[in-house]
Amino acid sequence: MLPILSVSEFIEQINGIIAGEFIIEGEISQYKISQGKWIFFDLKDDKAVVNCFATVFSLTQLLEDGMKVRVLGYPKVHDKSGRFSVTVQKVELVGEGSLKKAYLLLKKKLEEEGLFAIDRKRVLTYLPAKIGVIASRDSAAFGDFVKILNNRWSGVEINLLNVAVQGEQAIKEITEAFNFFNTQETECDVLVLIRGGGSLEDLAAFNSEAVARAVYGSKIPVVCGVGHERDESLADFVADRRASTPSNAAEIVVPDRRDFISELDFSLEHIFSSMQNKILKQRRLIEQSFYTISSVLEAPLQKCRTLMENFKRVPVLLQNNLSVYQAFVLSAQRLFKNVDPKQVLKRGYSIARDLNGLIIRSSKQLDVGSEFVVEFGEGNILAEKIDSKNRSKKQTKLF
Amino acid sequence: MTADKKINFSKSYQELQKIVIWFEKEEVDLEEGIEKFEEGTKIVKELKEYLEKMENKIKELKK
Repeated sequence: MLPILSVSEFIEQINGIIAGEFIIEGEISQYKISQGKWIFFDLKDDKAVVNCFATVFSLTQLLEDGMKVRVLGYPKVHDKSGRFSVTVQKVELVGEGSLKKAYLLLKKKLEEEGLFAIDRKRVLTYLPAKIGVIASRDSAAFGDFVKILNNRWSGVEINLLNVAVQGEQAIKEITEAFNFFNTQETECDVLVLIRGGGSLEDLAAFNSEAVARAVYGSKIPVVCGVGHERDESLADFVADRRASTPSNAAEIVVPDRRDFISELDFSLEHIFSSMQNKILKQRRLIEQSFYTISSVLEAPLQKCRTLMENFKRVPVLLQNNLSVYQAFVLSAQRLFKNVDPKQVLKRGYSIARDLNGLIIRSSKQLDVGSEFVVEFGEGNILAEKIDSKNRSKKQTKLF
Repeated sequence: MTADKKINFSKSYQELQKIVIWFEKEEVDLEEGIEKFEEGTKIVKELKEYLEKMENKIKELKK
C-alpha cells in the first residue's frame, strides 16, 4: 500500500531521491537573465531538453545560445512552480566554437567597458632597470624572451614569477602574480606577460576576465606577448603594449645596443658640432666688433695721416717755389710802396690828426680853438681851428 | 664594473639628453659649453662601458 503524500512531501521526497551532482553536456538555448539576478536557459541535445537555473553571482562565464557546454549542477523540483530544473554551479565551455563565442562575448563586454581604450595606454620607460616577467620558467616563450633581451641589451634585472600558463591554476597564479608585483616593492619598470601559442582552450587563462582585469588594474605598465603573430588574446588588448610574440616583447621593452650606441655617438657628434659652430660664431662676432671699432678709429687716423703728409710737403713746396715767392715779395713791396700814404703825401696831400694821433675825417670833429696836427709829405705843423665866421668878420673889418 | 661603481644608466642617459638640449640654445656660454661637452663625452664613455661589461641578471621571485 503506497503512502498518501501531500504535494510538499512528494516534492521533498523526489528531491531527496534525485539529490546529487551531475555533469551534463549539451547546447544552450533560450538563454535569458531575469531582473539582473537570475539566469535561465535550456540545455538540449538532439532528443531532449532540460531547464537550467543559476544566479549571476555564481555564474561568471558569459553564455549565449548555441554554445556547447558542460554544466555542473544538481537537479531540483521547485516547490512553488513544480518545475524541474538543474541548478547550475559551474559551466565549462566545450569545443572551439563555444570558446570562440565566449571569447567574442567577453571581448565585446570589456571593450564597451573601456578596458581596451587607447588613451589609457601608458608609455613605457625607455631604459628599464628592472623587468618583471610573468611566465612559465621552462617555456620556450621565456627562453626566447631572455635570448632576445640578451642579444639586444645589458644590465637589466629580470624578476621572474613562475606561473602556470594553462590549466586549472593558470588564472589564479597569473592574477596573483600581478597582485604581487603591484603590492611588493619590486620597483619593476615594466611587467611582461608571455606564453607560447596555442588553441583557444590553451589560451583560456589569457582570455579570462580575471586576467584581463588584473592587466587593466596593474599600476606598472604591462607588455603582453602571447603565442604567434596571428594569435590574439584579451590580455593583449588590455595591455599597454601588445607584442606579437614573446621575442617581440623583448624588442619592445629594451632598445637595441647597436642602435643605442649609434645614438650616443650621434649625440656626442651633435654637441661637438654645435660647440664648434658656437665657437665659430663667437669668432665671427669678435672679428666683426674689431672691424667696427677699427673702422670708427680709422677715419680720424686717416685724416691725421693726410695732414701729416701735407705738412711734410710744405718745406718741399717752399723750397721748390722759393723764386716764385721772391718775385711775389718784390712785387708786393712795389705794391705796398705805391699805396703807402707817405708816398701820397709826397704828391702834395696832407693828413690832419687830433692830438691822440687819430685821423680827422670831418671838420665837425673839431671844436673851435682845439688844436690838431697836420702831416705833410715832409714835416708836421700844429694848427688850431678858428671860428670862420669871426674870421670873416675880422676880414670884413680888415677890408 | 663593480656594483658600487655601477652607474644609474637611465639617469645618466637623461643627463646626456639634457646636455644635448642645452646645446640647442642660441646663446650659450662658451666656457660652460666646454664643461658640458666634457661631461657629455664622459657620460657617453660610461654608458658604452656599462653596456659592454654588464650582463642581464635573472632573479626568480617567490610569492
